[in-house]
Amino acid sequence: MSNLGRMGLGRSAGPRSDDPVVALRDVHVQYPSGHTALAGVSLTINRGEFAFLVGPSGAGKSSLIGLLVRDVVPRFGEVHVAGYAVHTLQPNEVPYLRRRVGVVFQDFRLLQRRTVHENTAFALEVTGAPREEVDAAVERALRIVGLTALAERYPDALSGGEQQRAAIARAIVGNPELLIADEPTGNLDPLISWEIMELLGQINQLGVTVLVATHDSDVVTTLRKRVIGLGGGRLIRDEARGTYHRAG
Amino acid sequence: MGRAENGRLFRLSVSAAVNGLSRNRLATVAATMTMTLMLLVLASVLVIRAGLDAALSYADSKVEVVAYLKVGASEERANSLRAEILKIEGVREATYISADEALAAFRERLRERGEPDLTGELDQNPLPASFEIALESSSETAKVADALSRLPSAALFSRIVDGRAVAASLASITSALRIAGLIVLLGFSFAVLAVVVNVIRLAILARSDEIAIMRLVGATSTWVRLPFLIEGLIIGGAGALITLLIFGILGAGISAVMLNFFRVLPVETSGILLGEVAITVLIAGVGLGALGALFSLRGRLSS
Repeated sequence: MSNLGRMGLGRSAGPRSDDPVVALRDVHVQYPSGHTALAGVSLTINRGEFAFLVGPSGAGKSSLIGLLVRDVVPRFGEVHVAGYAVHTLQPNEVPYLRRRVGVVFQDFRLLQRRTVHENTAFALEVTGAPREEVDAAVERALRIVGLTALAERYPDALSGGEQQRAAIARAIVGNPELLIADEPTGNLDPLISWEIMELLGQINQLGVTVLVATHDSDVVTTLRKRVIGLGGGRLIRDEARGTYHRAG
Repeated sequence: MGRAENGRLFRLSVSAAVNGLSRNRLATVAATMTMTLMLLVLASVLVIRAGLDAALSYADSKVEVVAYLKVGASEERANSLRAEILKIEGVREATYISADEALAAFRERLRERGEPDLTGELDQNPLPASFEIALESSSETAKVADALSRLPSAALFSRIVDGRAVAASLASITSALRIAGLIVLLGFSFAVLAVVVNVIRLAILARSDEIAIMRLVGATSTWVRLPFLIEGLIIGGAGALITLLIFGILGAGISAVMLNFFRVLPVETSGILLGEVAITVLIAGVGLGALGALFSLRGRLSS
C-alpha cells in the first residue's frame, strides 16, 4: 500500500515514521478570478527532510504553502500533510492540522503588545494547553532559538533577526511535524540571514521537517539542500542537492 | 476537549474580552448606555403593563350590576325583591345597600379624598337604596341586566347600571398601550443591536492581528469567536445591572407613582413583580448582547 493510501481520509490513527510529512498528487489550484496558480503538482517531502522552495514571483510558492495549511483549497488533486488528508478536511478539523504545522513569515507577525515569552506561549494557550506544559514548552523553544535572555522584551525592543527568532520559537513551541518558512530572511541583512538559516538547520536536526520558500540565491546555492522549483504553477525541477538556479 | 482545557480557554477568552472592551472604552460606554436606556424602557413598560393588568382584572372582578331602587321603596319590598334577584341565573350574590348606608359610604369617600362634606346641609338623603349584584362571570352581565328589567317587581328599580363599559374601555386602553410599548421596544432593540454589532466589529478589527495568529497556530473557531461573544454578554449584562440598580434606587418612588396613578385599584409593585422585571431585564440584556455579537461574527472568523 502506498503512503498516500495508508494516510487515508482525514486524520489517520497517527502518522507513521515512514509516512511522508507532505504528499501532493496532481494538485490543481485555481482562484475565483480564473487564474491557475498550480497545475498538476505532485511531490513528496519525507519526515526529517530540509527542502527549499524556489521560483520567481507568481510561480505558485505562496499557493503551495497555502495548500499545506489549508488556507488554499485545491480544485482537484490530493494534499496530505502530517497525517491529514487536507483536500477533504472539514473546516472544524483545520485547527488540528495547523497545530502540526509551524509557519514563519518574512514580516514576523508578532503581537506587539506581548513579550517574546507571551508571543510564544500564545500559540499553545489558544489551544487550551495546561499552564505547566506551556511554560516548559516555551522555555524549550526560547532556548532553541537563543532568546531566553530576551524573553520579557517586547518585539519593538528587538532587532529584525531577534524578532524572526521569536517568530520561529512561536512556530516550534507546539512541537510541529513540519516547519514552513515563507521568505524568512527577506527583511534581514545577509549575516543575520545566515544565522536564521543556521537556526532552521538546527531545528531540522531535531527531527522537524523544514520547507523554506526563498529568493535568497546565495543561501540556497551554498547549502546544497533539496530544491523544489516552481514556474508558472508547475513543478519544473526537484533536485536532491540543488542550487538556486537550474544547473546547466 | 477536556473540562480543564475548556476552563483555561474560557478564562483566556474572558480576559481577552475585558481587554478588548477596555481598549475600546468609548464605544463600550456608548453601547452599554444604549443598552441601559433600552432596558429602562423595557422595565417601565413591564411595570406599567403589570399595573394595567391589575387594573383590568380588578375591573373584571368588580363587573357587577347595580340596581338602584326608587326613593322611598320599603325595606320589606326590597327583601322580597332580593329573593327574586337571587333566582336569576348567573347571580352569585345580591347585597342590599340602604339609602343610609349609601350616604355613609359617600361621606367616607369624601373624607378620604379630603373634600368638604356638604351633605349635612341637605334636608333629606338624596341617595337611593340599591342592590349590588355580584355575578358568577362577567360574561353574564348583559343577561342578568336584561333579566332584572323583566322581573315582576321591576317597577321598583329606578335605574340598572352594569360595569361593562368601564371594563371594555380599560381593556381597549390596555391593548393600545401594549401595542405602543411593543413598537417602542422593538425600535429600541434594533438600535441596541446596531450599536452592539458595531462595537464588536470594531473589536474584531482592532484585534485582527491577534485573530490571524490564533487561526495560524490552530485555535478552533469557537475559541476565536468566544471573546467577542463574551464582550456582547458583558455589554448586555452591564446594561441590565445598571438598569436594575436604577430601578432599585427608584423602586419606592415607582411604587408611590403606581399607587397614585391607579389610585383606587389594588396595585402593588410587589417583590414578585420586581423579581419578574429583574429576570426579564437580565434575560433581555444578555440575550441582546449575545445576539449583537453573533450578528457581527456571522460569516467572519471561520477557519
